[in-house]
Amino acid sequence: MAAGHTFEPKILGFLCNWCCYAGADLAGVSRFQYPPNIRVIRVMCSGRVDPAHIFRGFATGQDAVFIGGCHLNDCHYVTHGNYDALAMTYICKKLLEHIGLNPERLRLEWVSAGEGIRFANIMNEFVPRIEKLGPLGKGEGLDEHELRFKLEAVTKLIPYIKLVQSERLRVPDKTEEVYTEFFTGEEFNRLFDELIGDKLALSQIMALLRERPHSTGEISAKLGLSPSEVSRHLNVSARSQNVSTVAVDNDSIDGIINKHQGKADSLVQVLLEIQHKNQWLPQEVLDRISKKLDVPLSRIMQIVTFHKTFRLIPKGRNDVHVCMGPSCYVRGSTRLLDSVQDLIGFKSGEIDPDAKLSLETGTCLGCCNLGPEIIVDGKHHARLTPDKVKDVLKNYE
Amino acid sequence: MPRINSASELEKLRKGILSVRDPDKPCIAICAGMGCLGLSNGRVISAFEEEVDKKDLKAKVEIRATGCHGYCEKGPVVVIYPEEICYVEVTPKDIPEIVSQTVLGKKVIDHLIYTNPDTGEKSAHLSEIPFYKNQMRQIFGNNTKIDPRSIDDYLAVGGYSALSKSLLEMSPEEVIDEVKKANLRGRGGGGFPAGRKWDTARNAPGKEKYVIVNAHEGESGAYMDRAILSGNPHSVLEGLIIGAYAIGSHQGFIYARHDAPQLKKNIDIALAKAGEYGLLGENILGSGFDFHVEVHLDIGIFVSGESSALMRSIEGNTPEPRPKYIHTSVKGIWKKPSVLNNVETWANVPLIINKGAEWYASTGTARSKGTKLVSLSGNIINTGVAEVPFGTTIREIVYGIGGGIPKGKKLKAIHFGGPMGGSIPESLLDKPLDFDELAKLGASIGAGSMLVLDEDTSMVDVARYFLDFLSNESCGKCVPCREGIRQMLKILTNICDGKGREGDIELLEEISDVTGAASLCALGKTAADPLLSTLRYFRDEYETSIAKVISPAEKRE
Amino acid sequence: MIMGKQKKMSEIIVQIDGKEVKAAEGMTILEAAQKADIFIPTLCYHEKLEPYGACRMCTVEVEVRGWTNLVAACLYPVEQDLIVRTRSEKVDKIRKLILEFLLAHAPCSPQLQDLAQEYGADKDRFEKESSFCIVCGLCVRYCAEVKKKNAVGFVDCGARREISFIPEIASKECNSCKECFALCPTSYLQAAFVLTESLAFPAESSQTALKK
Repeated sequence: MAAGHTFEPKILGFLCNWCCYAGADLAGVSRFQYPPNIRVIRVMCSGRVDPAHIFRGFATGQDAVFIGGCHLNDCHYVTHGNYDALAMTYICKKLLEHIGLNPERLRLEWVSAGEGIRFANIMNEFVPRIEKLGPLGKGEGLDEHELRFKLEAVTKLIPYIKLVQSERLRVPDKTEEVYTEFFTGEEFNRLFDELIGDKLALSQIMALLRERPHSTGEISAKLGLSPSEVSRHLNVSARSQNVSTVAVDNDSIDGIINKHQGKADSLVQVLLEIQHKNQWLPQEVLDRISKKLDVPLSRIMQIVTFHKTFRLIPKGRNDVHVCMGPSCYVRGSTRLLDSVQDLIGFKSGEIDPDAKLSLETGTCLGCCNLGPEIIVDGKHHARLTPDKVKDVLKNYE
Repeated sequence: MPRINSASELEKLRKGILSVRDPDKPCIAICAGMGCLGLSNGRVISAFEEEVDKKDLKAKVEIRATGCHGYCEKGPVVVIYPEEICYVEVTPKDIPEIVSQTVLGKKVIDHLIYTNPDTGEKSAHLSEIPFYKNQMRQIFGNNTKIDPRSIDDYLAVGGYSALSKSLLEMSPEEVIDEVKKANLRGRGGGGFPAGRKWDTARNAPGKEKYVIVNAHEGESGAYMDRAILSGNPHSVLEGLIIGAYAIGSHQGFIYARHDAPQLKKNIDIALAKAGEYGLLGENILGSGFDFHVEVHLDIGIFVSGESSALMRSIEGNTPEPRPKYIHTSVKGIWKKPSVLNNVETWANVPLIINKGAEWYASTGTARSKGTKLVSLSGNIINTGVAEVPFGTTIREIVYGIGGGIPKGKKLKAIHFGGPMGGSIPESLLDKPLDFDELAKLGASIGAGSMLVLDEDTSMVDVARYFLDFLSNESCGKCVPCREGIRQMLKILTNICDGKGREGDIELLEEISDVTGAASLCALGKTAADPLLSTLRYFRDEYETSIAKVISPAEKRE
Repeated sequence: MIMGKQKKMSEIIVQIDGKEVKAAEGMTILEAAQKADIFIPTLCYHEKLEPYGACRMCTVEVEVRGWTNLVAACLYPVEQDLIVRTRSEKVDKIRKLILEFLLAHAPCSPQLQDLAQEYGADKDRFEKESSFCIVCGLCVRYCAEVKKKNAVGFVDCGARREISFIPEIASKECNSCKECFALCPTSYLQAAFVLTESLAFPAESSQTALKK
């Protein structure tokens, strides 16, 4: 911002026809002064406001969004739409938090038709508050590009979020206490993180990848996620085919597929052979198998996701397995796994940002006399203790 | 190699093989089993080859990389024949001494033979070592004499005589009768009478029938099937062909693990050699009986060891079990009658045919006949594969063969059957190894894995461990198993973390009741068995964990 | 084989809840019960689809040749002299717990709520799970067996099992079909569909999401 040029926040307001709009009108008629930054849209009920409207507002340059409705239990409709507005606001605030924007930019107030002064007072407090927060994104340290793709990620997810909310995040009773208790409670936070938070991270990754391919390290830096978390999300993406992956050595892979052309019964053997040869299964290879062996892709996806034997994203250059069979377990393999994870900085099932190592916990290979052990690239390192782990792993580049 | 077309040709071949084998010629048998491979016995084998070459002894000394000897704890293991001198924990630098002192000089090297850690007593010969002495190795014993890649080695110890007898002297019904009289029960965990299964399949309508070797061995802690199949694949193959003849099947499958490359290699070699010799394929031994075998690999999940799931996997589908209201021996792979038996079960068949059902049934208990291979693991001194007759007490196995508990700790429990089995406490150690006896105690024998647990183990954690395993390895199709395991695991994890609540034990019992009664397949039905057995014998641990904040035995270090 | 009350070769008489029911060879207990208007609750059963046996709600007690067993009625074939009990203490206990398991996932599902009332299932017995799919497989099987498009399938196993749309196929086929949506007892199917649509559909077809 150039010096001397003050920031004028742009605020979008959704005011309900029966109460808040009338209240705002009364404030105007009674000459109660308030800053002119709010652009008002009249809706019939605050419950009409949809997360899509809110985020469209943010995406088109608004710095804050205001929703005004009737006081709770005074809604002019039997459906008590203002409770819906309340629920939606809680969720949208959490979404804003998740993408790094200040949730104060979204505000919900109850203003009745006769409360002109109240409306003016709210505006007189809200506008300076937003001024202080600064322009959307910039005020939180996000550049224009980051802001854009994050908002895009949320917008794309809204149809899903609405379905999840209506099915899974229903509040048992329509009273203010119950709503507050529910939305500030542990169960809501947990369900939100598991159902929406994770998908939001995925959506952001997808938004980044739509622009251009990114490395794990780049994604991790841009989204503020640890490489371990990014790795986990990429695994999920590959499973649901959000991310497409391509093969490198197509000739030998095609050789295997053509050997079994038309033989749907050989599906499992073909997948195993390619996994053994190529170390992972590129998405386009699965498509080819589906066509050549005449089996539905859904069947292939079920088999390849059935067990961690099959990898859908490339492994690291070195493959580390920590045996977690019962004999190794009672001999202390959990401590071994902990020390490996601490040393390399990510968890089993993930790969490090430089693709040097990938870590997996293995099922019992039947070498119980060697336990507890780590197997790297097929080589057994037997009867290990946590202090020896460093020596074993430092040899692998 | 011309194909063998009759019993007399087979015997002639066998005589020929034996005639060129000098029983007094020194033979260095090095265990090339999985456990020893992981202890770099590859270097031991090459060191021997180098030394023999260097000393120009190739014509005078034989080197044989054999299958698993069983004494995995003490690997790499080397046995020098004909004296049967056994050296343990051999390293490459010991080789020159072994060759000059023992192979040529016939002297025993003291520091390489077995020393009993309790008594200090040394045992130079294989049959003197307590681990081996207290076993009855009628199935496994040949492993030390056979290179799995050589069919001649198997023929030299009498292999394929049972096949010849069955195909050329017995009718299929007579074979089934013999197996029934021997009361051969499935060794994979079900304990179902094999003869009865074969009968059902034989009488089931349809011309196309299948026989399958279940070499999946998903039970964690069990590794004896891999040891037999990888070490002596022909013994299993012979049993399979006899079984196929008995039920009228011309197509067999070996369903093996995908993560054991040595196993697959040895199976492929065995199948190729058997085919070459006319012991597999068209017109076996000139009998007119055709039989072919295909090898299929699994995708790695535990549930694919379940028979109906396994058959779906062979068909190219996801290995999901189906309820067996109609048995797989009537409608199996592609809805055709299919007989599935475990590796060890098939390996017992040639023995029954050769020596007769009466001889076979003279070993064991009233309802569990023959021997059982067990794999010892966990907190035990002698990890390895052992073969004992049914009826042997658990104490004899754990102390007489297993050598007891390391670090001077006390024994707390023995867990049988992996995730589908149960634990028995130290107080029941004098019970016999027997299908029904152990089942009555709530610890189904399973495939034979014996996980030994010492006094530092938290039994609540053991139950939690097995449920955690199953939650990743169950197919997830039916509600009682998928959700039952999920909820039981949650409760147990909370108890282990010191967050147990009043009523948790009762809730666990209620869930295990439903999971046990309503699940679709055996995995779900027995999923709660480890939990129930630990509740039966170690209930106080649960109660204390719930009453206190920290569990009495710290999580295993 | 013809003995007792068997009239024709393929006709079998079974007893369900004390009532004599005529069934044909090859029928399952569920089909025989439905024919005789005897209700057995189901969640994963649909008359157009092959019986699946996953929900286990149709568990009934059967007695035949001296053995008593608990079996899934949708899969168990009828046999002569079979005695079936569709309600009993054991059966009710199983159904109640299955419902409680599923209610932890989808407490608002109308089908589950109706059955919960009948069996006294408490929706708050177990901690709420985030995933609200009950993995009944109706959508997957309908798309595979009736529509033959295989646009949606299962992925993963055990407790992590879930449904997943195949983006290439779903983006072409689903918008003009969506027949499976009506079968879903929760609304997870729609949620999964819009999620796949927003995250994975090829660029051109994702425009429809914004237009809606």
